[in-house]
Amino acid sequence: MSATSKSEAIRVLYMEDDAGLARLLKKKLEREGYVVDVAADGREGLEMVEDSSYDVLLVDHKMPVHSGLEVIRILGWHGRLPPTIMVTGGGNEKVAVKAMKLGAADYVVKDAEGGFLELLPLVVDQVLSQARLVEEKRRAEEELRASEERYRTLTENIPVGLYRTSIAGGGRVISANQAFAKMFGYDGVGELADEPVVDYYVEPEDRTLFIEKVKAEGEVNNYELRLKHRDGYAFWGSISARAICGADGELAFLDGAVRDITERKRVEAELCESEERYRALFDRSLDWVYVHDFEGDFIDANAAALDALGYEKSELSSLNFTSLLTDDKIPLALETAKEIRETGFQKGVTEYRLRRKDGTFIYVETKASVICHDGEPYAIQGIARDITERKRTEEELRVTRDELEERVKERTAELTATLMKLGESEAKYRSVVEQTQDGIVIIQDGSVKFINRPFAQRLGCGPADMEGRDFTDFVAPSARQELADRHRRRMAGEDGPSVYESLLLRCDGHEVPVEIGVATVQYEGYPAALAVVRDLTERREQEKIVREQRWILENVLNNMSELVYIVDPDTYEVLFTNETAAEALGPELAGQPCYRAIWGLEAPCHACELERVFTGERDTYTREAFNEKSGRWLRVNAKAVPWLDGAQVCCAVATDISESKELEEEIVAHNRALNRTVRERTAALQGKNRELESFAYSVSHDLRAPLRSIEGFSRALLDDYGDRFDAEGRDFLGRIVNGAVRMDRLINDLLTYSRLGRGGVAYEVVDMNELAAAAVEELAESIKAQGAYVGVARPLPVVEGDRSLLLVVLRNLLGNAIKYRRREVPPEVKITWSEEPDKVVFAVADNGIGLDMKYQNKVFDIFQRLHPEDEYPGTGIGLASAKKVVEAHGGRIWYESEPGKGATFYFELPRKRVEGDDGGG
Amino acid sequence: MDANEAVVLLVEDDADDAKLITRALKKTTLPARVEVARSGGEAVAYICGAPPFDNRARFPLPVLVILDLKMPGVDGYEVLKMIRAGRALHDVPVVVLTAVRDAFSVSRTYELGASVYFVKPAAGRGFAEVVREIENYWLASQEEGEE
Repeated sequence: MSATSKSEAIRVLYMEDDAGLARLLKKKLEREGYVVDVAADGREGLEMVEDSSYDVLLVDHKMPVHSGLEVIRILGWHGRLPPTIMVTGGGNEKVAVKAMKLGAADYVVKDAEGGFLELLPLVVDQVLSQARLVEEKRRAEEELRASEERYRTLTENIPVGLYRTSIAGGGRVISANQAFAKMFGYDGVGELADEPVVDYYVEPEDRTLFIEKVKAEGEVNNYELRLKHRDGYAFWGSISARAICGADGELAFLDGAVRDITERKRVEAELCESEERYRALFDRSLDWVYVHDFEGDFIDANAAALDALGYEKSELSSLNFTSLLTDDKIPLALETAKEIRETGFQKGVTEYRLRRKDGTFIYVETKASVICHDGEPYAIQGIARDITERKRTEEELRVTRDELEERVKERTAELTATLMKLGESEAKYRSVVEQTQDGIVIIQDGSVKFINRPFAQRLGCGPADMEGRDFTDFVAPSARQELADRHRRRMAGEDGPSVYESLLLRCDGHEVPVEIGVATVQYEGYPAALAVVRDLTERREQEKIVREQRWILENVLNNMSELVYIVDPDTYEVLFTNETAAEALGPELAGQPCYRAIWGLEAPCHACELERVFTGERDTYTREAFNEKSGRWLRVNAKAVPWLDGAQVCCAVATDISESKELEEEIVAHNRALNRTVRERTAALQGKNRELESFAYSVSHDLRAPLRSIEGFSRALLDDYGDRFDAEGRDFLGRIVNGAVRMDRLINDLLTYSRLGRGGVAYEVVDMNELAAAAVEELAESIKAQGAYVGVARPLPVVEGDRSLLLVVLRNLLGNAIKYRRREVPPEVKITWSEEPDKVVFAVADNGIGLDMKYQNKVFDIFQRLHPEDEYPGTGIGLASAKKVVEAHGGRIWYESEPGKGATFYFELPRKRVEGDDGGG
Repeated sequence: MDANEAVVLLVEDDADDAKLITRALKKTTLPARVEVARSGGEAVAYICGAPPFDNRARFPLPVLVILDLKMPGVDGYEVLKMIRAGRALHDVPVVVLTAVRDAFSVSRTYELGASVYFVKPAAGRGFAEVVREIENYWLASQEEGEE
């Protein structure tokens, strides 16, 4: 009797204005396991009912605001009255009855003893269970109603026809549903009654057979047969029926259901067809089609697959795809199978290397997907293609792929560019057509339908003048027939040359050579000829120029006196000869090897120029040789030149040098003779020199001996016997001595002079400062005696020359400068020098007696003196010696002077050596 | 004629030069007696003591030889060789006095053993100077000999 578990705790709302009582009651009920809320008055109670649901209401009658009755009434109106118990004071049964009329379930009387408190839980319980029962009943009725409803809806709306038919006669429809009626094309069940059931069958026998079957089996399901619609057409139906027997055990009725399976049949047929198609595809496909389960065992495979792998169909079932694969691929295959199973399809294609039955290998590419049966995946179907061949060429392709990619890129760029251009508006297209130099002409039915402006102008007309006219008007008379024929044949669909040359006619009568390219096009819906015409006038001009040039070249080539021939450096083959070569060496040189054709040898020449020219040692290679074939001396200049195909060949130009060769030989012989003569002469000269040397030596030697005697004895006379002579006698003797002395000096100087330079000029580096110092040293005595000063303004340079010879010059010039002094003035000698690009000029300046300029030549002659010997001693050989030496060095010697004002003697020495007799004497 | 008298042998083919040299020698402290050989051959005869110089007492070996080089027949080089070959005159001072002055002759002369080489003076100088040089050389060599 107590309340159920916590989760199903009964909720009670007690409306009681007596708070104490409320509390009491609440406690009591809660002890019984009820959840109790208290409302102090009717309004609060209503609010609380509003807020939440209660299983039971306990309502006190006497309450402020709303009495209990009012609460019940209100709630009853709203239909929100849960099981309610009226709590009323004693003696208020009327109220209770009213309350019950209003919908309360029961009442409790508050007795003064409080016994009602004990009762209350019971009442509550009772009320609740009653309520429950009511509820259940209601629900059951409800369900029944619903079920009836459903049943009715079902039978009325089910697309399955339900029926009961009788057997006898044709059978009658005892009962049927709407669907049945509709199925056969009747509006309602009512219309069915009259028709014999057999009429619903296309074949009456079918019914008989069907009944037999039902009789035999008691129940037939999904019997398919053709039924007849009211409108006369047949449809497929599937019947299920049960035999209902009468009391006599005989078949009395058929209860059954009939389904219109037309749609299904259609679908089935489609499916079958599709299956057929699929099968056909499967079997005939060139690609392999196969089916295997998730473990990899093959279920099916088409002929292509079997053939390629070398298996029979019968062997298929024992085959697993792992046995076909190479070990490295098995994991991938299993992985892919798993993927397909999970996702339903394979992403991308997979390549495998498969083992055929005979052990050889092929490459395939597969793509598979899952196939389902009733929505469940049950196998994997795949398509594979033999890519063995492809694999082979893949490598090759890879190589050219980059190239191709590049080209494609280029081409794509070009194409894109072109497309972009083309994508521009028609005006631009037109402008292209109108601006090209070539003529664009459309000819239809023999007349000019379109001609672009540039070309029209070229023909000397405006396009307007030409369009519409017969095109042959613009063709030269000589070509008219041909072009007309061509056009006619072209329009008739015949083949013909699409590019050819012809002659057009300008409006002014001039003919224009052209090249025409023709194509057949559709123009405004009809065939026409589209011609692109190129003016060949310029080209003809060029050709003419080229021809002329060639003629000139050939003329030059063949008329020049040199032989020209061209040789292939690899094969030695003569590629070309000019006529001069042919005349000299014989005809038919081309094609032969050069060593035979040109030189008459059987093997390449020793000094073959081909190699030299082509190893790039030099640009041209020249060789002189005697040519046996022509009997002439040739000088061959060979040079590498590019040939027609761009490769390098050797071009040789050979000059006949026979004459100059003879000349050369003469010259050589002549030179040799000359050299011989020179050598002989030199030897002779040298001999003569030596003779002269010894002659001079011995002459001087022998000449001087007597002088010694003359002088010696004269002096002895003077010394020993001088006192026996008078002054005059002594004077005579003195003069004899002087004479001898002078003669000795002359001989000495002459000897010296003659020796000068006979040994040639021994060039060395000479420091002129040092040389000047040496000369001064030599003249020290006379410098001291004369009180002379010899100085240098700035250091003298270094020159190239013969030291001893140059010393002679300095000695003589310095000696003269000191000797030829003015009596009253101590000699001052200054040596200076100046430089010129190719020589050094020295100057020895003195403050002596000077001399007249008119003696320039005389003074440098041998033995020429300007003063008597007793005034200025000397033999007159000094300047002559200086001159000899200076000139031997290739220089000059001269002086500048004024009598009484000193003299400056200059001598120049060239910087470079003089080409002369440099040694050997 | 004193056998102990020091003799200077002058080998000179030119008569004038011989006279002049002799005269100059007289004016020095060199030994007074001067024997003149007029050719190389004569010089060799004197040194060897061949006739007419076979009387050694009359013709003693010289203490100084003054030798010209350029002589017809046997020239000075020969004489010099001969002098230096023999033991007798091996150490005697030989003064070459010649007109020849080229370096080759000079070196050859010294090679052959000449003691000193003098060139005959040019005209105008006389023999006095060169003879004085010879005297100096002689005196110097005497001193050396005494040491």
